[in-house]
Amino acid sequence: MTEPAFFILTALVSGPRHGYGIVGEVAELSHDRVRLKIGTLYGVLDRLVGDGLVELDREEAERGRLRRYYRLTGEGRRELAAEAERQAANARLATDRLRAFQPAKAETA
Amino acid sequence: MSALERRYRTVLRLLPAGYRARWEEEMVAAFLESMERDDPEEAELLRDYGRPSWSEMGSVTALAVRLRLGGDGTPRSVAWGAAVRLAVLMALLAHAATGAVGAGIRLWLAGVLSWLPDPPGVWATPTPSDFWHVAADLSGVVWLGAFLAFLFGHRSAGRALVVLGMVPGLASALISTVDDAPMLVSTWANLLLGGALLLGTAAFQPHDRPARPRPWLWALLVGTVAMTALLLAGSVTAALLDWTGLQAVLVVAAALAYLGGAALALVRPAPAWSLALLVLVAAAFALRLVTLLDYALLDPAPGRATWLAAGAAEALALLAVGAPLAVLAARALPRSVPA
Repeated sequence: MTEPAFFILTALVSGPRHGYGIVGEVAELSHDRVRLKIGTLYGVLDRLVGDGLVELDREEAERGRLRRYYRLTGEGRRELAAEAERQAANARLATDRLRAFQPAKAETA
Repeated sequence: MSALERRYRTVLRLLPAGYRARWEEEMVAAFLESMERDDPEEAELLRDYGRPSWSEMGSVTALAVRLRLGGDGTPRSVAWGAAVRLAVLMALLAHAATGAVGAGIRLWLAGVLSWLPDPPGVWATPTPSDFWHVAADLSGVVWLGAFLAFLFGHRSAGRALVVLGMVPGLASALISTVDDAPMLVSTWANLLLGGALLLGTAAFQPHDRPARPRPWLWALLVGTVAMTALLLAGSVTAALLDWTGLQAVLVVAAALAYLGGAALALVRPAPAWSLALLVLVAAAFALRLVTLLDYALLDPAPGRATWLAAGAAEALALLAVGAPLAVLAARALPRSVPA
């Protein structure tokens, strides 16, 4: 799973959002590290909808413009949980290694 | 419709029609929302004179390339995606073989490969041995890494290595603009083709079935051995072939093998291979034309007429194999379905 896809799914966990709402939520979640471009967002969203991880929630008109809200599907929630678990396991692996090899390094230094 | 909206919609025209039908209105709404400002005067100014940022246009371009090379799932784009993947792999294969041979020869000349016999005397002419020249000569192996990365499905690493592989060319192009050295069209044309190669790597997408590595690894081995033999027979080839010429000959040879195989019914022409070879023929042809310009414009050396004649012959050979390939590709390419 790519980083934008990971953040977009995470942004939808707390409830349905529309396109620009997702951009804002992802920026906040990542402390401004991930700033999605519109082209990137809709490239990923198209794929997530196609894969059944995200679906249309409702349509609204806001100042004459179309707003489509998207929500996470059950499949999307499971996929995100699995990915989060995988990343956490990788992070644990690295942390454990770092901890295990730190004293050895201190001795030789 | 504000000028800003009109400009953004112009950029969106890069996207395939089917995709635009689904997403254009939403993308425009989201983009305009991202350009809203609290200050009414600034908002007005943006609406009239603002334009999408470079990064915003870049994201749409990248999406358009990805969709048109198989990402939108239409038969036509899938065929193009497969063809561009093949073309990129073949181009990387050629770069990898020459890069490996170039780096090997550099090490040989430097005496690092002491188990080999000494290099022939004619090669002992001093080559510049400052850090940058050595680095540029050895940097060829980066292409080997890029080739293997795409072959085994490591797309991000592959793209990073392609960018790295372009650094020496970019550096020498920039240096030539600062120095008084004559500006060569081919330097820039090569860079442009490098950029096209990088863009072509967008055809490698997460859901694709990767190529079977074994035939490609054999091709790498054969290519490296052939390239070494060609270099050792240097006196013959140097008189007839420059680097672009060598590429042209390689492409013509590959196309002839394919067309010959198809004519003798040894292989069934596959749309992806016809298109991929056609892409390579077009690239080699363009490069041959602009490099001939270099010979025509710059170099009043005595051998110029020979070089021009050889180059023209190569260009003609490329055209000759390009025509039947174009026919095969056009026949096999799925019709585009209006959205």
